Amino acid sequence: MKPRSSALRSVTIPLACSWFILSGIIVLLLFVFYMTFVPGLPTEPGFTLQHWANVLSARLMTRVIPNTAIVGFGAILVSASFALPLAWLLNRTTLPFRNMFITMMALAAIIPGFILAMGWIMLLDERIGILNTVIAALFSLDSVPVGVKNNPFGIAWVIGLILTPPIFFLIAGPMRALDPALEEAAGVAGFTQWKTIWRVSFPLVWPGILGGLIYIFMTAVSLFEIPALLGAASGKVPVLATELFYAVRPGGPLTATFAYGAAGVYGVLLAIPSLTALYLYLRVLARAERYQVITGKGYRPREFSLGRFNWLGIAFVVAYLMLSVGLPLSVLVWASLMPVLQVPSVEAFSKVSLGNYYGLLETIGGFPVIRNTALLMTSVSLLVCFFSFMVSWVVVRTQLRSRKLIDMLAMMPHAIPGLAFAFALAMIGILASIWIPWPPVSGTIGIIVVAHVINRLPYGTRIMNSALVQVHHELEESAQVCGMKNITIMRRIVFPLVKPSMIYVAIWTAMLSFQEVTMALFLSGPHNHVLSVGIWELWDRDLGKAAAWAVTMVAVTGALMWVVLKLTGGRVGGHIGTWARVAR
Amino acid sequence: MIEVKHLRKHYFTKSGRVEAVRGVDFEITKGEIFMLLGPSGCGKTTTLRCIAGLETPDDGEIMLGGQVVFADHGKLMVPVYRRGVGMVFQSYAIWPHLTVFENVAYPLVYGMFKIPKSEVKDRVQKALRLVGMEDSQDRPAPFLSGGQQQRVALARALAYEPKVLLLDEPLCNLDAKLRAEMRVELKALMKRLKLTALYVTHDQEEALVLSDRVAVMHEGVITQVGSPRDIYMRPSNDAIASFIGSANLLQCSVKGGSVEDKQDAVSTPIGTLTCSLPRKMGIGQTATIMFRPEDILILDASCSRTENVFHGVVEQAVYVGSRFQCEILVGSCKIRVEAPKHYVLKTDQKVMIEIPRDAVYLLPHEQ
Repeated sequence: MKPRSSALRSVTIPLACSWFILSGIIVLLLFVFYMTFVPGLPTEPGFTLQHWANVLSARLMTRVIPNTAIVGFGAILVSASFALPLAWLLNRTTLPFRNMFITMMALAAIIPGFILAMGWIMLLDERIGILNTVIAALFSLDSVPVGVKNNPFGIAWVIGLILTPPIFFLIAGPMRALDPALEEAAGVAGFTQWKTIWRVSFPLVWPGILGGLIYIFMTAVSLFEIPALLGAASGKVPVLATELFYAVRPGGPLTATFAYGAAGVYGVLLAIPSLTALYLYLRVLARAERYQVITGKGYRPREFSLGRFNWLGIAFVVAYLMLSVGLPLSVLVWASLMPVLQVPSVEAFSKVSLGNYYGLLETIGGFPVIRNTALLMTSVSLLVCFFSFMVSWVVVRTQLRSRKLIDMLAMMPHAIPGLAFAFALAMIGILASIWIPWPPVSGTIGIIVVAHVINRLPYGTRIMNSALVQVHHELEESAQVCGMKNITIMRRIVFPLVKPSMIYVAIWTAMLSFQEVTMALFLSGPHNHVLSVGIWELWDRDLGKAAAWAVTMVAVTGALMWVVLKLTGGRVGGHIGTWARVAR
Repeated sequence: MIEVKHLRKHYFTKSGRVEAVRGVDFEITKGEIFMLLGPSGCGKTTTLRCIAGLETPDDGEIMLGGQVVFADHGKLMVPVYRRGVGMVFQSYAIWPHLTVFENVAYPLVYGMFKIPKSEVKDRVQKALRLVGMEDSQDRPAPFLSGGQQQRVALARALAYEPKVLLLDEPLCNLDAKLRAEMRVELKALMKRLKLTALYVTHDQEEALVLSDRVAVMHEGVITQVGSPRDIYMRPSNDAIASFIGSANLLQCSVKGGSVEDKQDAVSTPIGTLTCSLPRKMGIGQTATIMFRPEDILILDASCSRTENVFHGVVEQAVYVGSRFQCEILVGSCKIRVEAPKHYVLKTDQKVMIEIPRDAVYLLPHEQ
């Protein structure tokens, strides 16, 4: 091993910045844990174990935890049964239109989940669902056959569909990178094509798949907005994430009181499976590295010809895209053009109007909401870029003993639901308003920005780590030898080289902040509404207007995505894959 | 131009503390090409990086062109960017976001060795002309081949006219044929510009071709310094003898005047050998003798010479184009022999070989 450089000796500033943000994470986590032992607000004295004792309550044991498990495992089942065939079809076969389909998968990955859930409600709601109404009319039934609402399986179905693109891109990497020589060796040794897939390719890609499944579980159990839309808000299908939300932000019919301690307990309960899963995930990844399937050589994966079954493959891909994007989006477009939601008919078509789109801005709260959204997007993406660069710098470019720890801490928010951080921030906001009334904390856009920055840090540091690792240390050293000072090297050599990754991080975090609803809603006050929160609240008041906004939001996201594609030169598979992995 | 005294450097790896450099001394005079040669992990690159200023030594003193750049455990330490050395890296370290021209111009524009803007173009073109790259100055760096990158790296290191040039295995990423060409070209260029250069390599052929003087390094210390010819003909121990070129090594003991009353006979596992011994060797003393495969002669059956002639059996003969590489079993010892290509040798063939007296070199006994 060659000694690595201590190229830029001045690590003080990056290190200080890293610890600044990481200590924030630690404090917030400890605060969540501390809250579980406090009877009421932390300003009031006392110590209690009651919140933990309540875990054994019947409601939690017989409803919340089973529901959460159904949602988690159901989502795995749904997304795996779509994503595995899709990943194989689009990466290892000669299916026509593959590149177009991959781009569409990337587009599916960026459509806000709660918007798709709204679409599914309009399709399958017991009372108003279009599909249900049609089916009921066709078979002249009184009651509806299937309902996606008020049913944990419905929640799992929608979450599974939404999480399919991320796991698709997660598996696509190892599938593409599999050395074709390994499969050719099996062929030479007398394996048939199908046997080669089953006995050689699948076992080699398995660690990647397992990692993806674990990731799906973690994400599914910590999602708030979709269970809330599909039944938890009415108290019929409570899951841990929604319990936590309504404990601090009462609004549902069942929880009318504040229960901060209980919220802390839910946060810890949510973090336990996620942390366990993250640990397993890292173990699996470590083992995957031992396999060395990915050798980094530039070969083309061997492609499997489907021959006569091409149409079947295309049908499968199209079916998924219809289910995940086509149907929900079309119903939203339809709903946005209707005064009242109804089944398409000649009569209904005569009512089509853009009425819902008139005065759109006022319905959501006017210009301040747009300003807040823009402020949130720009400041989050700038801050995430800055802190990710600093943290990754310390992790990749120094020899410090603490760099492993720093890297791990930066990964933490990935395993701990954003809701837990939002909860801790909300509590700090409340405390701040009691102790020091002057600086506004609670109900500001700033507090939402902090929550988002922490939540996106793992994603930003992953991208920056890999970008910085690719900058060979000799590139900096040669600049030093040529007489350049550290600051010049940063500006002239390192920054231009990581700039593309920086832009990806900036745009992608901006996009995620644009569509994020859980944390923004949790921390919302009268003056810090952002667009996604506005749409969420509109949903209860006016379906048509909410649909119009949802369509607008998808259009804006699509435009942003187009910009990203232009900037990356259309290399969707590579970068979006990484994004989708750490996004959401 | 370069003076290194008692250089020491350690670093930590996963397996613990490693003493990379354990007291290295050498001096390079103006216009000399000095080579640090050794297997990977012997500390040669660390030594080079200490001189460049990329590593901070634990102890020792480094002088560049009469100026002390490191002393007193780092209390006196000139930072890298002020040392004014040129360096060619193993990976070439061509900045991928720039063109060929910009790569060479960057040190002149943003470095410590700024020159007036109006002169930059001339200087860059001059440097590129030296390495034969003047026609591709507008090409982006990622489109260069390995050999071209190497040339640009050299041009960049020369553009600001450094006091000394440091080269860290610059040819090891090239393919064999290109490497052989670049070797000769690089030497001619360095001699023409009268450069003082410190060159690090693990390739012994490179060391012999390119250098004025070679220092062989092993486990953090220099074991022998000398001209390439010296090192090849008179290695100071068996490790160096077998690292540089191919060598036959035999244990021997000095035998008194049995062969024509001469003292210079040694007894070896293949029989008695006549050679020139240093005067101080006494009868019965043990030592190691070395002779090179290409010095051994294969004799016709009719030849009547007897001194240092042995009978053996060809165990393996490999035709490599310009010659035969053989292993000949003499007694119980395998002797490596290089035979001219017109000898057609076959396995199990009986042959007579002569080890000329002048070809035998007795390694100084290690204490």
